[in-house]
Amino acid sequence: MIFSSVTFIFLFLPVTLAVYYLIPDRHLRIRNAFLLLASLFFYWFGEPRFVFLMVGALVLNWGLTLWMDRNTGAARRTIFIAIVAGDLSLLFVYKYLGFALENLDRLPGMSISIPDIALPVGISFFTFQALSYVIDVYRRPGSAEKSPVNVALYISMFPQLIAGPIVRFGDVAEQIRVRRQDPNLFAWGVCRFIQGLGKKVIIANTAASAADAVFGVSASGTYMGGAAELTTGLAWVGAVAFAIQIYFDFSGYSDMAIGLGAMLGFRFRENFNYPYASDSLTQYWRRWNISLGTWFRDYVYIPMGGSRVTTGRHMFNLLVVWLLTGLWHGASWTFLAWGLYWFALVAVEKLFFEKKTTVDRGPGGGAGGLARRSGTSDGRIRESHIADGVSHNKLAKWFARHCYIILVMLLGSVIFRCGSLPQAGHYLLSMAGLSGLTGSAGGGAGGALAAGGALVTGDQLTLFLLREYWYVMLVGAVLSFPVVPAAGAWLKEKLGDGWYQVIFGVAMVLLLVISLSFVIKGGYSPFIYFQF
Amino acid sequence: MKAQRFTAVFFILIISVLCLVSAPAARRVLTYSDTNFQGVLGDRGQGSRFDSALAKEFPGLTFWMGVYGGVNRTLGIRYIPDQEVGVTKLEDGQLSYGIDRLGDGRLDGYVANTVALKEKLEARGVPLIYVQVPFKTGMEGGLERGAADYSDSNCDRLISGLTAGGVEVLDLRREMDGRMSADEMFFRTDHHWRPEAALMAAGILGGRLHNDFGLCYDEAAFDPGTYDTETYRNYYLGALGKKTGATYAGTDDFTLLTPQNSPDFRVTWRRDGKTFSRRGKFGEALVDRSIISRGDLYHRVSYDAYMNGRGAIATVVNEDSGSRGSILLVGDSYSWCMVPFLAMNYGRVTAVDMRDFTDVSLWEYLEKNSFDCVVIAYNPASLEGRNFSFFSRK
Repeated sequence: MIFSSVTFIFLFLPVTLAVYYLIPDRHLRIRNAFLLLASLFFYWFGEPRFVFLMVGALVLNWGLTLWMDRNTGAARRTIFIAIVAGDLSLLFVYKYLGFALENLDRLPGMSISIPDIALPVGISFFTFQALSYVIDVYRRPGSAEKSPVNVALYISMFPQLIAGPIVRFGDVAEQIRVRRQDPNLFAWGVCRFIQGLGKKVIIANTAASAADAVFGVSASGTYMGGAAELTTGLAWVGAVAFAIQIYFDFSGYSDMAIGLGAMLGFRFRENFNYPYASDSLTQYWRRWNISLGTWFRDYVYIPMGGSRVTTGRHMFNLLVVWLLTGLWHGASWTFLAWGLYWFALVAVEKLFFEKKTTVDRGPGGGAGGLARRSGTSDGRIRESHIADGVSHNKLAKWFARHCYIILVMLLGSVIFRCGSLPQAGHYLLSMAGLSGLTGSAGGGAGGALAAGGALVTGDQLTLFLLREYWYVMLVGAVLSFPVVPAAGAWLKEKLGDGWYQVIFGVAMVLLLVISLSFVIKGGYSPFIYFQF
Repeated sequence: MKAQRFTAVFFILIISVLCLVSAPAARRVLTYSDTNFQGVLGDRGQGSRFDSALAKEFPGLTFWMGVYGGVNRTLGIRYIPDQEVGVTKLEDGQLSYGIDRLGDGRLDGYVANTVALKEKLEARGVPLIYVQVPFKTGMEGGLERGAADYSDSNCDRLISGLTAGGVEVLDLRREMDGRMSADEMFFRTDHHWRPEAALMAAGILGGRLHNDFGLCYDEAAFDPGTYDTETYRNYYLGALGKKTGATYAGTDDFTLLTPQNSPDFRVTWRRDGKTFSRRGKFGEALVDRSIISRGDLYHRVSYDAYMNGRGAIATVVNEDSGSRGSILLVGDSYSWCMVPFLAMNYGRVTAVDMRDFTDVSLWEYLEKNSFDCVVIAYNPASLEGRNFSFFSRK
C-alpha cells in the first residue's frame, strides 16, 4: 500500500485515525497495540508473505537485544555481533545474494545457479531501524525496551516503514511511551501530508513520464518500438526530469511520512532541506536523505574514526561509507559507481576546499533534525540557509557554486537511474555531445539497428517533452528552492496574518483537491524508493 | 494556526465522507475474481489490483476526473500520460493515442498465419480477404502533433506482406479517405469509429465481396438514407476521454442507426462461457438499448450497444433473406460494429473475437462450419499475437 493511493487515503487512513482516536489517550498501550496491528496490516497488503518475515525479525531483534542487555563484557559483545550479523544476513540474502552470485558466476570456471529471490518492500529501511535500535542499546546498557509492542511499533510504524525516514529509537521511544493529543500537531501534520502528496502525484509522477521516456531511449535505442537516438538535448532533458522526479518523489514521501507521524502524535526529524539549494557538496549531503546520512555517520563513519584520523585513513573511511551508501540503494554496479562518484567529489571538496572545524560533520555532513522547523541547534553545526549564503558571498560566486552543485547532482542522478554501467557511460557522453564515441545506446546495442523505420528523432522527442512537461520542469525547478517559505513570510509581512491565513487555507484546499484528482486518476503509482 | 486547523478539518471531512461512500465499492471490488482476498497469501499484486479496481469504481469520479481534466486543459497540456497508454489531443480536438512500431518478427508471423489460413480455405473453395480498418490519424510523421504513431506504418508493412503472400486486401484507410471528416468518422473522445463510419465500411466491404467473389449485394442495406437516426446528445465519454476527464476534451453525441425496414433476425452469442439469444427486428435483436444509457459517464460504454455488448462468437441469421450467402468475420470491436449492417445484406453473419475465442481454434471451427467467405478485419491496435493465432486455442 502506498500513501498516494485510493486505498490508503480513503480506506486505510480514515479507518485507522478513527479507531486510533476513539481509544482514549490514557490507554496509550492499547493505542500503540492498535497502531502496530494497523502497521502490520499496511505491510501485509502489499507483501502478504513477507509480513511474516518482518514479524519474525521484529520478535528476534526485541528478544535478543533484551538478552544482550542483560549481559556484560564479552558475552554482551558476542550477542551484539550475532544480532547485527543476523540482521545484515537477512538483508544480504534478500537484497544482495543474487547480485553476488551473478558476479561470482562470471568468474572463469564457475557455474552457479542464481536463485530468484523477491525483494521485500522496505527491507533496507526496517533492517536499518532494527540495527539502529540494537546498536543504541549496546552503547547504552540498561536501555533495552522491555515491551515487544513498543519495539515492534518503532520498527514497523507504517508512516516510515517502507520508505523512511529512518527513525532512531531514541527519538521516538519517549513518544511511544508518553504522548498526548495535540490538535495543533495534528493540523500541522495534515498540511504536511497534503504538501507531500502534491509533490508526489503532481510533480514527481509527471516528471517520471518524461524521465522514463528518455531513459527508455537510452536503454533500448528505441522509442515506441522505432529507432531513436539519445541526442545531447534529449539527454539533458531526461537528466533534469529525473532529478526533479527523484527529489519530489522522495521528499514528498518523507513529507507524507512526517505528516502522518504528526497526525498520530509523533514528531519525526526532517529528512530533506532543499538539497538543490546547497552551495557545497557537503551541504548537499546534509540536506538530502538526512536520516540515511546520519545513520551512516553515527554507525559507520564515526566508529571508524571519522575525520579525526590521518588524511589517508579519513579518505578510507569516506570511501567505505560512500560505497556502503551506494550499495544500500541497490545491488548493482551502477549504485556502487554512484557511491564512488560521490566519494571522489566529496573527498576532493574536503581535502581542498573545506575549512577545518573541530566538529565532525560526517561523511557528507550528516547534521539534520528539527533545526529547520524550530531553528534550534542540537549541538552540531547549525543549518545554514540559502539566505545566509547569499548575504555572505558575492552573487556570481554563489551562482557558480550552485551551478556546479546542480551539474554534479545531475550527473550523479544519471548514474543512479541507468540500469547498467555501459548505459550510464553512453548517457553521460551523450550529455557532453560525445555519444558517437560509444557508437550505440548503452543497454540497447542493436536495438536501433533492428527497429528501423523510425518516425521520431531525438530532437523531435526533446521538443515534445519540453512542450508537454514545461510546467512540471519549471515548477519543480522553482520549488526545489525554499521559495514557498520565503513567499509565505513575505505575504504575512505585507498582508498581515489574517489574509495570510486565508490564502494559506485556500491554497491547501486547492492543492488537496487537485492532488486527490491526480491520485484517483493515477490508480497505482509506486515510489522510486520502494525498491530499497 | 487557524488555516492549518481549517485544512485539517476539511481533509478529515473529505476522506471520512468518501471512505463511507466508497465502502460499498470496496466490498464490490472484493468480489471480483482478480481482486478478492481468497488465496491472496503469496500474491504480491493483490494490493495494486485492488487499488486500481477501487479507483475505477470510486464515487464522484465525474467530479475528480473533471478536476484532473480541467487542470490539464488549463495548462494547455496535449499529452496525458497513463498507465495503459498515453492520450494525445490532436489539433482538431480529437483524442487519440500512438501505437508502437510492430517488430519485423511478429509481423512476419502474422502474415505467415494469414497466408496459411488463406491457402487452407482456398483448398476448400472459400475465399479470404483481409480488411484494414482505419484508425485516427493526424500523428503520422512524428511527434509534432502530439505523439509518435506507427499505426499506418505497421498496416502498410502488414498489407505489403499479405499481398505478397497472395491474400486479398481491402484497405479501408484509402477507400474511406476523404469521404468523411475526422469528426464524422470517429468519436472525439474514443478511439472507435462512429456507427455511420461502420455502415459505410460495411457497404464498401459488401461491394468488394460482390465484385470479387460474387456474393450478394443489396445497396439499400448500406444506404444511410434508409436508416433512422436517434441522437443522444453529449452522452458518450469514450475510452480515451475517460482517461483524461470530460472537462479535457468534452463529450460525444452517440447515434443509434436503425433501418426503416428491418427483417427479422435471430442472433445467438457467447460471452464469458454463457450463451445468449434474441429474436426480433434490428433494433431489438442486434442492439441492446439498455447499454447505451447504462451507468454514469465514466462507466457507460454506449458503443457496445451494437451487437449486444459483443462476445467471443456471435451468429446473426437474417430470417427474411433467403439464400444470400454467409460470411465469417474475424475481428475486433471496430468490425463487430459492422455486423448488424452486414446482416442486413447476408443470410448469415458470424463474428468471432479471437481474444475470447478459446474453446476451439479458428481452423477447428472452420472445419466444422462452412461459409461463403471469411473476412479478417482489424484496426491497427489489434495487430497482436492472439488475433492471428488461427490454428491454436491459446
